[in-house]
Amino acid sequence: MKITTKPRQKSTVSTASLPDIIFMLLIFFMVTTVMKTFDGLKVQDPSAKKIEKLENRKNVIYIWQTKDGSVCVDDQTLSNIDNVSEILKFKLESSVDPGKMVVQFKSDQNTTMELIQQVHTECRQANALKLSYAAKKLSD
Amino acid sequence: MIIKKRREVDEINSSSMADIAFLLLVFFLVTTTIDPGKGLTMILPPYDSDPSPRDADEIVKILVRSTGQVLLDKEVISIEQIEEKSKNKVQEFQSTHQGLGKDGKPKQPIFVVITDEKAQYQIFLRVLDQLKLAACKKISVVES
Repeated sequence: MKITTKPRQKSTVSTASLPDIIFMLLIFFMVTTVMKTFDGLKVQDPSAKKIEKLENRKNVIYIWQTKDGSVCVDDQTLSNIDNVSEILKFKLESSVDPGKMVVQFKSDQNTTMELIQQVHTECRQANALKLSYAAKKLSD
Repeated sequence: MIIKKRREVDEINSSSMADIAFLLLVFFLVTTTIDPGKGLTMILPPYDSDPSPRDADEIVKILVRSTGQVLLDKEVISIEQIEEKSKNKVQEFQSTHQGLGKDGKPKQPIFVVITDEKAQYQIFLRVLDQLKLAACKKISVVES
């Protein structure tokens, strides 16, 4: 008896499904990634008409202030408002371009001006003079 | 006699699709920026600066009361009126103070915003917004 061997076929791994796998990965990461940004304190933004967009996130220091007076700088919650200028000073010194740094100030719309003025003074003491009052767009 | 050849099924080479997907991925990774937020910008004066004395006629006082009432030069007005009123004030000022200021532009009056300690931030910001809408260059906020 003769054993007949079939001629072996040349086999290649099909790569056609590779893009599907990559697209799936892309979509998976797009959906699941959450930008790690500190949400700060819960405040109700006031509204204004002439608002400008800030340019670069790297040059922004965020200050939150609730109406009961608790203050938060970037991701540090402060017990005493007098510490704000120290932290701002430190942040300005450690930044690449202190002249370009902007303080984005987020306070509740019902905060009394007494508390706002304290933050003003702290910013001036730290020589952080570019201030941006966070506000949402007020429609006409 | 005609012999029909069996047609082979053509396959599209899709190996470069992966490259395209990667390229898109890299492109979006590089170009996406996170919104840094928006707001009303103000420049504060340095802490140790000494405000130079001003003439009384150079100053336009805006008072914000704790009740939310706003007064412009001792006149009670609504917040929406500030834009128009302050525009008028600038024109009035420039007609009486001819000539150019230090920066080579027409002289500007100083709008001083005085707020009550118990006034709401929202009202203060709306007043500031109105002044900005009226293109007022010199805005001063009084610290209590």
